[in-house]
Amino acid sequence: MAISTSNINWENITKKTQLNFFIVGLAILASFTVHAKNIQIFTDVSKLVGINFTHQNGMNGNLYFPEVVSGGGALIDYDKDGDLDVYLVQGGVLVNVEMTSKNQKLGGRLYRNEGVDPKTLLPKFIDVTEESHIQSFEYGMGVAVGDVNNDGWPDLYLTNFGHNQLWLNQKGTFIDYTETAGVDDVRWSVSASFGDVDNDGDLDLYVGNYVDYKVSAHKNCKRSGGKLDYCSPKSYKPVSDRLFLNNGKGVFEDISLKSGISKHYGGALGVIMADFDGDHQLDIYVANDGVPNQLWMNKGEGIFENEALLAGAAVNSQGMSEASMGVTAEDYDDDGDIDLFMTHMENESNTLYVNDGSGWFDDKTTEAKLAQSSLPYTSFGVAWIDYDLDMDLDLFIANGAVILDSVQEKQGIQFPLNQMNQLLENEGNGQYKDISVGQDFISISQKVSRGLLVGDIDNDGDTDLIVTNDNAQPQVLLNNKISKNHWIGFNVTGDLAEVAAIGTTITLKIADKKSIVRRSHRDGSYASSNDPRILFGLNKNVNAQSIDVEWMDGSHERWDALVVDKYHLIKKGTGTKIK
Amino acid sequence: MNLNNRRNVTLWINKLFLSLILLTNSIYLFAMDIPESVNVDLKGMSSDFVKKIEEIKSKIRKFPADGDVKVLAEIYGNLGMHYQSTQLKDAASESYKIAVGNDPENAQWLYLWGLIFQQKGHLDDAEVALRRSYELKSDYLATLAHLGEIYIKKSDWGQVKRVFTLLYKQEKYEAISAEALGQVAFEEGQFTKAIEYFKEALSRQPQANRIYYFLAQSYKKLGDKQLAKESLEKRGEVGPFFYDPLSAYVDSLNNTARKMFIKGFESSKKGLYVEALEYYNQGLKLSPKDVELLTAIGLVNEYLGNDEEAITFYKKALNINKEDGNALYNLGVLYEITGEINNARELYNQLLITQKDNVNALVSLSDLEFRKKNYSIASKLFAMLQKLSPNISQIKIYRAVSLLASGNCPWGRNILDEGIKVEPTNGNIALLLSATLAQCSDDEGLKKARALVNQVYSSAPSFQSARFAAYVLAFVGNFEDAIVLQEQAMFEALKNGGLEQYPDLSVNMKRYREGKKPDWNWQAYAIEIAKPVPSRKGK
Repeated sequence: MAISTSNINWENITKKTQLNFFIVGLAILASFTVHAKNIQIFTDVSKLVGINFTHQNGMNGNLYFPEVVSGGGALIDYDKDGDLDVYLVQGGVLVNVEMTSKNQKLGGRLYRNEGVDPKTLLPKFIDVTEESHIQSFEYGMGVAVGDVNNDGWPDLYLTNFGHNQLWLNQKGTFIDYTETAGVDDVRWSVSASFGDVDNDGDLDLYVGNYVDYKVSAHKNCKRSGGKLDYCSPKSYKPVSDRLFLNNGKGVFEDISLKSGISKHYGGALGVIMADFDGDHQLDIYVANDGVPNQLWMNKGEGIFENEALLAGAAVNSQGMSEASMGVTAEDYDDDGDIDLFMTHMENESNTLYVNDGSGWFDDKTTEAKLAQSSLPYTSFGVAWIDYDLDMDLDLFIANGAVILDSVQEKQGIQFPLNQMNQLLENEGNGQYKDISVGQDFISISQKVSRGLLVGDIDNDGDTDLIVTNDNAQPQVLLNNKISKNHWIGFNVTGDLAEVAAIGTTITLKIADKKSIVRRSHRDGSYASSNDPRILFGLNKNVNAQSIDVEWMDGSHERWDALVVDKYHLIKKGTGTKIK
Repeated sequence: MNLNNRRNVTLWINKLFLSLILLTNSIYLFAMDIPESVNVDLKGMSSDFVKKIEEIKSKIRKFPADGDVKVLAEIYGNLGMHYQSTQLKDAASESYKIAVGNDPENAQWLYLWGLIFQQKGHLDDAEVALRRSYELKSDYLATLAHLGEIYIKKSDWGQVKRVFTLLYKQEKYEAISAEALGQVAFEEGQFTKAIEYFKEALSRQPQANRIYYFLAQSYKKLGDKQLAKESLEKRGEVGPFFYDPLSAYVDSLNNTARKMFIKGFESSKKGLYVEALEYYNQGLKLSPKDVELLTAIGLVNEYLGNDEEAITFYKKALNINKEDGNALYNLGVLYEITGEINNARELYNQLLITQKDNVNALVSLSDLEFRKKNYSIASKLFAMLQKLSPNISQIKIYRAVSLLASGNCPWGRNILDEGIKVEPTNGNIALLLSATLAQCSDDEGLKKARALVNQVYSSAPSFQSARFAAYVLAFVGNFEDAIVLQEQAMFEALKNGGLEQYPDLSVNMKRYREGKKPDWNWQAYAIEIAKPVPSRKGK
């Protein structure tokens, strides 16, 4: 006999069965509700924290090149009160060389972090630019942070389309130290990085320069279909980068020629320093727009050799140069060496170079599932972060086009280059999954993103983000810490504070489990400077067995029995020395 | 061949989705309006192109509601091809979508649609379209080649191997197949095999210099750093090309003389001169009086060894525009090479009348006058060059030597004095200055000359510096030291080919031993030390 519902005798069904049906029904309803609204990983608190800043690129329809390249920012504890303050780069007017942002009352802004408001639980910022005495009215590009005179106060180096500036921090107020330091560069500079390249105890400076562009010599470039558009860097000649050596007192010597770094150059947009071959000397990686990148290996005594092609880090796996913009460097696979990830234009995938330990790299972009997800986007700022504190490195990418989008133009959008940013989760096996969909902070606010500032802004043990947007307001993204995982953080310092910290690596050992390696640095991303503290996610682990700190001079120290869910000050010379 | 051995869920879903889209579009199209997505703004395009597009659109508007859908597909496909020829990818994609919707069994529209997806980075869609196209028309091998490129981008090495193994023995696809199979071997860890494939690819298409990068990585894996470095020095970014007449046809739809010039120029840069000539000639058919094309044809003929043809085309260009800089310069150089010095000189001078700062002309003319020993004229030309390029030491040296050779010692010395201040370690300038001081100076100058040669010889001992230092020391009466250095110079000369090349060495050694000043034309030596200024000479 065929079974039909009319044959079911509901009275004979047990109460337990009825309850089971009810529970299942509820579960189905609940899952529908959950999937209708994804859990938000970050919250955009831009309008709530007091950073009332709008980047202005000065666009007037002429499609001047710098409009589409600016700008970054910095996280810097300029007043040394234990929380991260924010410096944001401003664009300006490009009508002619003489007419600067000063006339328009524009200029970069410094925001002091007043700490977390106990009522709102949000950090509060106030604009302290005037009282800081910083006056940066050039057309801004990026920022590098470093203590150039070893007085314990972090200084600001501003890269510009125009004169660069070094603002020396004198206990909370700044003076223009550019001329004294000898670090001006009138060429178009974008990214810069401080690091002790000669291991003499002071911070040296690498400045990445872009192309030889002048507003007066602007070219009208066309895209397919004959319409005017922003030019590509190939329309202009690249200009060489600069390497400045610090004499210990904040006065620099230009060793670009002597060091060898002026031999190869090509439109630098991203710069990062790291010890790629484990010889305790900082090397320099330069991401170039449209030409092979450079890997300047430090040979000692101020000499560098470009080994990018041989090392496999100059071009993609097909031997082709890409339009490289931003770059980040971390030990992504926890094998004790520094890997590279850089961002590119649409139709060029972003690229993951995995270090084999000797400073040679293999392109593993496709294996890591990072290729296809990046093809529709032009990517700039980038950072490896452990957003969910599960002990592996995820990726956040700031996207924004450089070619006018015809659909957005038809919609009347003033700066029609908006794109969605991306959050890519490390699935624990070195492969990534794009989890951007359903995240309001990504889908609702699509801008022309450029810089990415990474750090724990509210000091609650997770990584927050500030995304700088071209010709728009920045996004301040606070991490909602949805995972409830444990963490441990380290503020690395030494006798010469900053100098000792940069490049230092910490290997965290968790009982019977893996080791994770992270390093202290401010540079990377795009035209930005970040929180130098090291933050480890611990997943559910409540015990961090020990840390092995490897300083840049090759010495090792250990710290044991560390309390989790807090920041620790790691000062050179205060740990247990180990071989 | 059956490629359908590997089916995966993603592809099936994509195919179903594709079919749904096509069905929706084909139903829509019976209305015969032109969809907004293919009605793009053509501002900025050439009037010929706009006219062509309007003609096609007019056919669409007039298409009868009960007309043959395959004919409609043809019209939309034609529209797509025109859009594709100008890189209007979105409009082209929409046009092909409609074409395929009306004629889903047409391999050509699927193929071109697949190429658009590939260019836009939509690899999955590209794969679906191209696989379907290949199923319908498996004798169009370019489809396989493009599929192979997609699989390379996806790092699907199993599929790469299958596809390029099929193509490997096909004529006109050997190089690209060898390159791809080399990459497969590399991924499989068979680096020696990879090198064999890469070398084969290069032997078939030597201009495909991106293969050197793969070669370098393979040598690196085998531990041969030296060969890796040597390969990297030859590296470029030109990949192997393959036969794809349909794409070439699409490309030709928006041919302008300018486009042909660019294509010819690109081919010429790769060393493909015959191909370059074809493009240039096509361009000339469209624009017979294009001076740039005529000059370019002249240059390519030079590279091919057809000097007479080259001269003919340069003259044609100059008949249209007698002041064209490229034609004047190129013809001048060709006349120089063929020995017609007066003609060359005339052309360079003509060019400098309209473009007084034309560096190429100045370099060539000054070099010509110098070699013809017209030192007075040469020195004036070098002076003009020096104004344009004040930091190039070779120009300074040439200018100084020209002045010295024409008997103008003080001026020559002044230039060298300035030169040595700016470049204190430039050995050539130091040696020349020391000789000048020795020849036409006072005692103070002689002391300076001796100091200079000692400095140069001690910092960079070489045949030239030893020979010259001996000369100057003997000139100022220091015969003992001169003999020591002359011996050194003779020793070096013996190592490098014998004393016969430098008869002055033995002659002067005899004189030094007799306590006599050197018998030597120091001006000839100065000229010898001034290395040739590079110019575009020869092929």
